[in-house]
Amino acid sequence: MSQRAILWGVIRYEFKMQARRRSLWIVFAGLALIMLAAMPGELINSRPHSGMTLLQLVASVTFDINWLPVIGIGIFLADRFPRERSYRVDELFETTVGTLRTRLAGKYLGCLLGTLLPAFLANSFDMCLFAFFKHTLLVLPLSLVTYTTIVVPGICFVAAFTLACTSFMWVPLYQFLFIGYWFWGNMLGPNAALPTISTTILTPRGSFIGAGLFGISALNGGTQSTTPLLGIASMLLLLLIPLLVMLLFYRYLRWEQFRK
Amino acid sequence: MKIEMSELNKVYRGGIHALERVNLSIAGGMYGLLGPNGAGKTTLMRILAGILRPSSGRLSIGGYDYDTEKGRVEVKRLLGYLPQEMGVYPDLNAREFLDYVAILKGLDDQRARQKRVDELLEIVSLTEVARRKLKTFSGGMKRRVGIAQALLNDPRLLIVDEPTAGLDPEERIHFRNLLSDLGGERTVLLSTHIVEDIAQTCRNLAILKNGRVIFQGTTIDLIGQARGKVWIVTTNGNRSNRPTGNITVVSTMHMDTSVQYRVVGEPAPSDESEAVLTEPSLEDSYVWLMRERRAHVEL
Repeated sequence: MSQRAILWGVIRYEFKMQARRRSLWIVFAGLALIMLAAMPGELINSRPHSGMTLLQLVASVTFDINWLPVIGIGIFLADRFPRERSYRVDELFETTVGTLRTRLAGKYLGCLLGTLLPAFLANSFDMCLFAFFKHTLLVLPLSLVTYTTIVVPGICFVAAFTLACTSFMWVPLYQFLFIGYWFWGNMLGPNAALPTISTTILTPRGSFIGAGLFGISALNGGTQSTTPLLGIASMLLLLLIPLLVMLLFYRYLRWEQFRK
Repeated sequence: MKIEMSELNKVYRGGIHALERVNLSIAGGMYGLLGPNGAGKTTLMRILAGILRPSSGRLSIGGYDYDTEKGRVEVKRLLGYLPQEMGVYPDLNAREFLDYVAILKGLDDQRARQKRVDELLEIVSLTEVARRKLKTFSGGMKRRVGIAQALLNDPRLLIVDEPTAGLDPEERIHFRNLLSDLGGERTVLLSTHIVEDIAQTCRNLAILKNGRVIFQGTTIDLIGQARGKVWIVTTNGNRSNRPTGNITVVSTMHMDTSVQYRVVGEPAPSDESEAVLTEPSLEDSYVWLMRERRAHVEL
């Protein structure tokens, strides 16, 4: 018996349970079409943008078409942890040799991948059309790179907070607040009345990553003068903070167990 | 697998004493745990299953000290647990759910795991519906899935909390026989309201009330305590002729021209009824014990 084998098993099943949700696919298919409709200029204009390389163009489109789907990811991840209690499987799982740490890590990774799959495919669909209008298949591998670097770190960040917060917050309330947070944390400009993290490297939308690593002009966030170091710092923070969140969450659950 | 409990206490937040100074020694085989609602049976089961920590006291299972993390992990390897309220993932089918639980129980080898799952599905008669989603299962079918998952790792200690709840009479008998067979080679702790389940499967039992052990011993000993206290009182069916006295009516049977009451206690003599002493059942003995405890408290 090894915790690694148990971890892999948990990841597989959590992925399966999430990826099987029909509503997930329907919503992301809808979002793919919405983002497609919202970006006609980028797609129809087959002339190269002056001063922008293909990579920068792909990065720019990736950044633009993925701000809405991440809301979908937060919404669909919100019920993953509370369902253990609502379905009363948590008590049974506690009696197994699969440790809480292993189960939690497996749940995080499995649910994340299960939700990421339709989101990534929606992005890929839009990118296929973009490749068609740009008459080059090179868009596709480039979009994989840009999606992984600009979008995925923010998704990891969102996933960790979603799993943790919904353990003590009513799911619909979290979903409502999350939508508000997403706009506050990413869309509000520096001149907005409310202080916002949208102009900091903590913005999970990937503005600083896009600007720093690909030189794109991202909304509210990095400008073309943002350095690659700042971009990398943003990416690392968005990947490390989830680890910290999950660690604290694990500690919280252990403490809850002891209190029972 | 021997279980030893010494001065076990459990106090929930708010000062609720769920268990008080529980001292039990369970050698092995089938062991019954009986008691009214709120007696502390489920709390005790959950402590033994490692879900709850006792507030104080000592607990040792199979020689492993439950106070240590190492001890608890070792016991979990050998433990099968069927909770009172068994939850499942509704979007998985029976085979998938059992496979998932088997993985969590450390059954690494895929082939061996699949074989085990297939065997257990056969034992609980769910092979034909193994690919149906659990949300389509009836309560009884889910219970059978619960029984199957408890047996996945061939446990040496099986803790079953109200296992026959939701099962029809035939299923209940089938499951009782299954438990009895298992009890021959391992320790099976059976907690239930259904006295008949214990009567048919356990030689030894403990009875809890208000968090305390009020009886531990054999079923024969318990029945012996109620001998001479159980009566069949036959009346002519008139309401005014219901048996009176210091009694508890265990059952009432309406016959053609009379009514038979099975009572525990001391029925008052009456010209309108006939009382005949009868051999107590385990249920009668349980009722007798509860009466005695109440009387003792009132004194």
